[in-house]
Amino acid sequence: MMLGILIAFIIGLFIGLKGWMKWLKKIKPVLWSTVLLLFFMGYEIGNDESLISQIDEIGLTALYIAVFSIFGSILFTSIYEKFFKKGKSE
Amino acid sequence: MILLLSAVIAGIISGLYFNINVPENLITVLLMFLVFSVGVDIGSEEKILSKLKVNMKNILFQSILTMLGSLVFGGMAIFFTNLNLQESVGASAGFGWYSLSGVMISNLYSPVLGAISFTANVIREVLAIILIPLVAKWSPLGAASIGGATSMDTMLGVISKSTDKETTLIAFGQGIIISLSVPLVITLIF
Repeated sequence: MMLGILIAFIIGLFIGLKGWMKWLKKIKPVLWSTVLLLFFMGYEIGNDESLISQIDEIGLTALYIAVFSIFGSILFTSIYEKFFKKGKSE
Repeated sequence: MILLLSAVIAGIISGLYFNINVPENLITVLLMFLVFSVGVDIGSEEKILSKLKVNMKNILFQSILTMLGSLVFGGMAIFFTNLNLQESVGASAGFGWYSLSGVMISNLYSPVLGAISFTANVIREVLAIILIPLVAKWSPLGAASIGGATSMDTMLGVISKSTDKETTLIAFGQGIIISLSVPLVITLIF
């Protein structure tokens, strides 16, 4: 699947480089496919009975993991961006 | 943002009450269509190939720092939960890829930790919807890092809306490198 995604991106990039399919943006394809994907993600959670039944016990633990790891990622990458990043093409 | 969060909630509710068979192929087609559309968008940017060349190093650092930040700080969850260091670092190692990390950790370690990792990465993705637009105002790369592995698919649209095309390109590269790393990192931890 990874490979499929990569190929889809490269084909898209090629079409964009050629300046084709300019109409595509008007139908907001990125927004609507994201909405559908998130809907199916939610569906997967709601449909998982064993997950829903133990959500009280694992929810808070999972929240801590999520918040801390997001914080660490933002911290490290923003430090890099502010002090080390090169190649601003503007 | 509200639309995206409503989509998640509507999904959870319909998952609770309905049993439909979601074909695996539908998700793959949607993902490919999304990535294709963002590709067209980035490709239409002027001088994008030279920008990609300039940003190779940035993509690499961005990926490594996103993963390190998640693992180091994810490990700090030991002070607030019952998990030990191996468990809390391991649960952080999905970097947002909930389906893979959940399944892998269930198999390699325990189903409970698998469920914790699954939930933690779902929460990461939901928080990403909210946080990316906010963090993007002062640190575009920081915003891209929130998506972790999902910066190449579901969160790519959010990132491209909140930042510029150069950051979106870095985010996509970050998503690829991290997605490739998830199975490796999880195997190394457990």
